[in-house]
Amino acid sequence: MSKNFLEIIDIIGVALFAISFIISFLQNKKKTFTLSIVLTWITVIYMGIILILIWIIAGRPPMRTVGETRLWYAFFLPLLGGITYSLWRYRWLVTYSLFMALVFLCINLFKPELFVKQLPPALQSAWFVPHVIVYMLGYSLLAASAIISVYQLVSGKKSELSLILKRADTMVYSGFSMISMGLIFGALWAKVAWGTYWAWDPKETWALITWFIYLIYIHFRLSKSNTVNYKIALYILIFAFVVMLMAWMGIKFLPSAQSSIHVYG
Amino acid sequence: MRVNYKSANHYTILHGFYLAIVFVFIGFVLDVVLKKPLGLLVPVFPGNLILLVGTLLVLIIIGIIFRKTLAFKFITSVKVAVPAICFFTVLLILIGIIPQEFNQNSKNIHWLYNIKNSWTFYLTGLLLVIILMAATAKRMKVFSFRNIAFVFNHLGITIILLGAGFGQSDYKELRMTLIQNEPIWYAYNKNNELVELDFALEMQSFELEYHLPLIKIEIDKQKRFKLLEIDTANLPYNIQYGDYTITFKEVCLECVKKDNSYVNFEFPRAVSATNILLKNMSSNIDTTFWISTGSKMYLRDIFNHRGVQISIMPPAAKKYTTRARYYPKNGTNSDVIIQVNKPAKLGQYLVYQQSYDIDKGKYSNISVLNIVKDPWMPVVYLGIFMLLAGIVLLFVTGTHFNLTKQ
Repeated sequence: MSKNFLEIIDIIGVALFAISFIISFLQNKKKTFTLSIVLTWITVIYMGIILILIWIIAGRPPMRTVGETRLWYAFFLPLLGGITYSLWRYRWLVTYSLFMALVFLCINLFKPELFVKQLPPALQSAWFVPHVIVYMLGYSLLAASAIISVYQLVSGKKSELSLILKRADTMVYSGFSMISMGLIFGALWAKVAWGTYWAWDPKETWALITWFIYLIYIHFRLSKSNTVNYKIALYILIFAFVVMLMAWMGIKFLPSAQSSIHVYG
Repeated sequence: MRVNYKSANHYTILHGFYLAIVFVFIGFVLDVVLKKPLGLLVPVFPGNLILLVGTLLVLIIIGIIFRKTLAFKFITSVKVAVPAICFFTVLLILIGIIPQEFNQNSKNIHWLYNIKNSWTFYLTGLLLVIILMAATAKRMKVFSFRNIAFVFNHLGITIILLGAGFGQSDYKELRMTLIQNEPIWYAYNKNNELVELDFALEMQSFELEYHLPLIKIEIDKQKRFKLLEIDTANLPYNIQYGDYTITFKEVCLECVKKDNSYVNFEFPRAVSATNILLKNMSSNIDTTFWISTGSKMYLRDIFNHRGVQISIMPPAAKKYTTRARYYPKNGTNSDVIIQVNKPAKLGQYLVYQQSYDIDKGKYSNISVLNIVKDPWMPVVYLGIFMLLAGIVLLFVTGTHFNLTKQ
């Protein structure tokens, strides 16, 4: 597959997401939101088709590089935006999902990675696809929880506070379930590949840190202090999101990760 | 105002932080004073099993005796769990940032470079385990759907930690280097000490399958480079890049240099090479050349002219397999196949394909294997699958997708 093909995909994707985002942004305060939702589902279908196409053309799942995982993120985010809109009528979540997906596609466009069909032996495993998919779905859900918390902190509305916190919980519980599965699948995969569940590779450590911070959020929400200090819970979610981005894309900049087997793309 | 000291509500999350600070502080003092961690001294089987059962019994008795006390209620509450997880996370963040020293004999290294083996880490972890076990024991009494999720999660993690912790003395990880047609009955542990095994392995063949080589094309004006897999099935073929047409005329995956060209020849120091016709569409000038991957015997040939660089990368390994004969001390001999992601079970051991002689590639006459004996693996797997079930239940019980605006 030529690199031009990937660039064309990104350019069309960026244009589609940019139009969808602008329309959704403009329609946020208007009576009707139909066009935004239609465009959101079009972006989901577009990304879905693109992922299937790349999978078929490359002859391997498009999950090898960080850039490829960003495509999955750009697929799951508007999907969640669409689903949450149909459930809760959150327009701003749709807008922010489209915006974040747009940002991630822009990163792919301005910092293109080498696309190589070849998979090393360790990645040729049945665990590869479920491990990456649950992680990307989990990251998207947890990003949605961060968006909800930013929205609440910025708006400062108290009228629907308990409902918003419960919705943030829903995103965290479902996202946490996904990243827990990702962590377990990774450990089982490592056991089959190398004979050990855990090697304290920096990527693994940061995935564990992310998991622990969401664990703090879940336990903090169960404590009585959180009803008084609900803002702390919301700040934890934002901090957790930053750590999650570090685990996903930032570890290659750390001194501890120079010998990591997980640094790619 | 009178304070009701009999109520667990008297304690706040701040008290939990005080308790966690005590554990962290003791650990820190031990690290500073002792300078080197003692490590977890767990006896081998059946000592570890007896110790585990004993520890569990003691904890159960303590739980039964003290279950109605404020201390027990406090330790099983999130008021302690949150601070304990916070401190443990801080240590994990330090591990994630600071490169850790893995050398077993790192006596004089500052504890910050060896956090996983520090007293601070052990004691903070111990506090977490105590909370985990106490909270699990407390909730096991009450049966409800939500409680099952809680018990599965917490008990799953407890079983994983206990299985891995108490089982570590029985865990053996050895490195075995097989040499073609030589039966090997020994391996080396992490301290590089020789360990005799109750079986021998004789490598009969080592097979290595390669991906096709990649071509890297760089044109200075483009400020980017292109990486593409060579196509051996459709020779000759053209590709367009910038102002250039690149024609791949010939490809040889294993060849040697002869005069200014390459000829097919299979041997360990052979290279991959391709013959290219490069045509500049603007100036209509063309040039033909060979590029090669290079080896210990031949220099790498790269095309580099007027801002255009074209090179061929050494082919990457796609799959490697060791075929060996297995000779157990007691039992019948058999043939085994070992591949990455497909370990072979030999008696009590699982044998993993690790590496080979990379210089010799597919002609490697050695194969490096990882030999693991992990008798507590079923216990850890039980914990993992219990945790997995708990996570699924957490998803079901913890989410409120049906919440509508009030």
